Amino acid sequence: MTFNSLTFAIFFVIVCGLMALTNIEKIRRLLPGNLLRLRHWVLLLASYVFYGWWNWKCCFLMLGLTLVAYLSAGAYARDGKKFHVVLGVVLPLVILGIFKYFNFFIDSFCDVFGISRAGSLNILLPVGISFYTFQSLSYTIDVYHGKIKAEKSFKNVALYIAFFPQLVAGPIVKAGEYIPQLYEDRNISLDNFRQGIQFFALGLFKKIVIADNISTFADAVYECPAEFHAITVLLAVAAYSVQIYCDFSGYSDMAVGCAKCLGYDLSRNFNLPYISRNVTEFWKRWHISLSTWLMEYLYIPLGGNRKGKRRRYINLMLTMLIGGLWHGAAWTFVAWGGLHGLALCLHKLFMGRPGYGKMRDNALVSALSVLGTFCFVSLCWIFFRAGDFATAMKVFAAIFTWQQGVVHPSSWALLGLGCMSLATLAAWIRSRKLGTALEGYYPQVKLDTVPGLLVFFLFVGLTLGLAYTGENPFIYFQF
Amino acid sequence: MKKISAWILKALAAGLAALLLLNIWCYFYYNVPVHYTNETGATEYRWESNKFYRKGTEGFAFGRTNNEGFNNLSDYEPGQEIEILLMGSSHMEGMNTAQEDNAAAVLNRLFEGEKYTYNIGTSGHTMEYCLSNLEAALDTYEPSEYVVIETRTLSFTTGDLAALVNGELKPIESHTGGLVELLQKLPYLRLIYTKYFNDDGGDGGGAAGSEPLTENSGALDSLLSQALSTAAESCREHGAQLILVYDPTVYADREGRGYTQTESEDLERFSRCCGDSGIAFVDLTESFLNGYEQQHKLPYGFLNTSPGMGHMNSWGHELFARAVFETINELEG
Repeated sequence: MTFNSLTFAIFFVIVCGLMALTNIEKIRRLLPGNLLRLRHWVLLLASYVFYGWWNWKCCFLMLGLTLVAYLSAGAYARDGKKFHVVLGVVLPLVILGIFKYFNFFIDSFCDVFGISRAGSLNILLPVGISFYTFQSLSYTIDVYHGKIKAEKSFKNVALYIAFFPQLVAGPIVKAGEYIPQLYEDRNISLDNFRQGIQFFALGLFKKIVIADNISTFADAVYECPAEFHAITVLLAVAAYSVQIYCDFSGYSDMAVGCAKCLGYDLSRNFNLPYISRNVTEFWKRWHISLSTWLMEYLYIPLGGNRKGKRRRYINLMLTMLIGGLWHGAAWTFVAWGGLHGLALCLHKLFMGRPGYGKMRDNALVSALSVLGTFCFVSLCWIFFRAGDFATAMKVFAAIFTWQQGVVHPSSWALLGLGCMSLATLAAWIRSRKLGTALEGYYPQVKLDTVPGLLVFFLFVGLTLGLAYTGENPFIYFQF
Repeated sequence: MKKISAWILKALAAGLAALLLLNIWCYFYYNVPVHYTNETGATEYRWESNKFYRKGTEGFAFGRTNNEGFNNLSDYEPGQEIEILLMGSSHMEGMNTAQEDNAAAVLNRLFEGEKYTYNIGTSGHTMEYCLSNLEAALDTYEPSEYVVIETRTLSFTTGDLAALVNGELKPIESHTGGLVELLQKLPYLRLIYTKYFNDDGGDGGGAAGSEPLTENSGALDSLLSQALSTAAESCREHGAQLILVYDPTVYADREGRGYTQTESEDLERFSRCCGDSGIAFVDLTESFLNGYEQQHKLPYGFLNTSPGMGHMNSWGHELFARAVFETINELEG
């Protein structure tokens, strides 16, 4: 059940309907003290149905991880023994390791030592396991750091980990951001619904119109880079940057929109990443929930920048390598993370040089920096997308040897790049007008007026009409 | 309650206005004519006549069907002299390319008025349907010299061939009349129906690349031979020569080398059966592969679809027309 399916639409209408029932005055009066609890149970049940739709057996895994987080944090809160926290961190990581990385490490080990593969496990990778494992860790660690209190209610922890809008592909919500919302009287309301549905529609457009249509081009080029002219391959590389952004940020927008409809707030996961002037800024704008998570729960615990320059760079590299591996059990992801780590280290080095600030303020330097960062990030995506080093090298070879081949200036790739540029321009104009920092914004119309409704219906109608309707799962589902 | 009723009224008004605007947009983006059963039997169906069409979902072409509902630059008047009759599927129909670029138009240019080519290629008309409709097509148009039938595949099933030979091929139905026809005339609804409820594109099928499994049996040989010899005989009786053109999809392997998925056994069988029946067989494999390897051009696909996949593009139509032109020249010595 994906956000862009009819099944989800029906599911979501049912959930909204059930949640709306609890707004009826008679029911409110009937259950004055238990109203919140009832809503939470409805959402929890819905979340498990949503997850179980892929594979019901995986629900037990998620339940198990929830139990580990709940019990270990609870035990630590009772007796203050660090052992419980260690268990609460190590156990989910071991589970993640078995499901996601066991075969990868065994295969890599066998490759290095030339041993025949004998110990591979034939196991299914549960959808979204990396996301909810990180959320369970966030809960345990936040309790340990005293940022939040250990929950007495198992239901609240379970709902925090399983809340369906962000369950399978984020944003990775921190316990301290979500659990307090469970104590507030939050529910579906007209205002929330009007806002949420517009977030959702925008995300849907990004996913099914831009990302999915571009995928027909990018997939073909990555499938056989040797077939195409260098200029086509370059366009495909740039197009993939747009595709992955629209695919993932589209999912995040839909998640934020769904949560908003139900009365909950999830944090923004993307903020115009491709206008970043350097890689450090890129990671403050791209997959914000993951980069924040990695900084808070990995980089800082490793020592961050508190233990000298050398340790800082080692910590940065380690964080990015692990971040790369988090995306997938393949060396190409490690290479992708490593390249970003290297770029971050170089940028940190460069930042310390005299005249950096002055140079950064120069408009031409800024523009060139944005272009340079986009090119770097796009070239790094080659490792991310290629699947193996051989394909990645073919893509690089096609570009740098100015390979001859089929010229295919895909209109969807050009349209995607155009849409992204226009959205950035709109955000820039808005920020200039308001005198605020350059941030992505989501235009909202008033859904209680005829013109507002007309614009919304037109947008939805165009989205459905231009959508790519073939099979195309969200890229981040595999992580 | 009053508030909710007011909101519903607003939503209805906005919804209707949006639907109207979306239909106007779709008129220029995806506007496929309604199809009607072809009473002549030359094809299973024909499109609405003199109708503007546009298929922005694949390619950027637009055009107008002629007075008969086929994709030709000019109208057909009964009794008009036709030297070459083109038959085939949506690839031959060529609604995804500019009308002046499709094979019929290119052939008319190549022959410089010496021979007139008329195209009745229609979506969903695989070779079996073309052969089934051949007799009626010959009676209707009386092509004086050649009948060219396009086929995307050489793999046939005994079931389909038996149905063809026994005259039991399931007709392609047209859903017209009443509300159904009216709804089809709303281009936005047509687009949504095509995208979400009808995999074959809502135009009678014929999308690219579906190649049935080969059946390895003597029955296939005999049925194919029977079907082709009957077709060749019909053409001869009408004083025309039958030409069958095979236009396969070109793929590239990991090293970028071009190939097709044609089974050599199928090719050999088809070629032999054509030879035995006196049919001229044109295999575009080499021409398509040369086009890819020497000029880096693919015969299928458009800038708004996956490269090399889907329907035949202008380049494919040009190669097709040139091959037919050369074959005719060879046949005429």
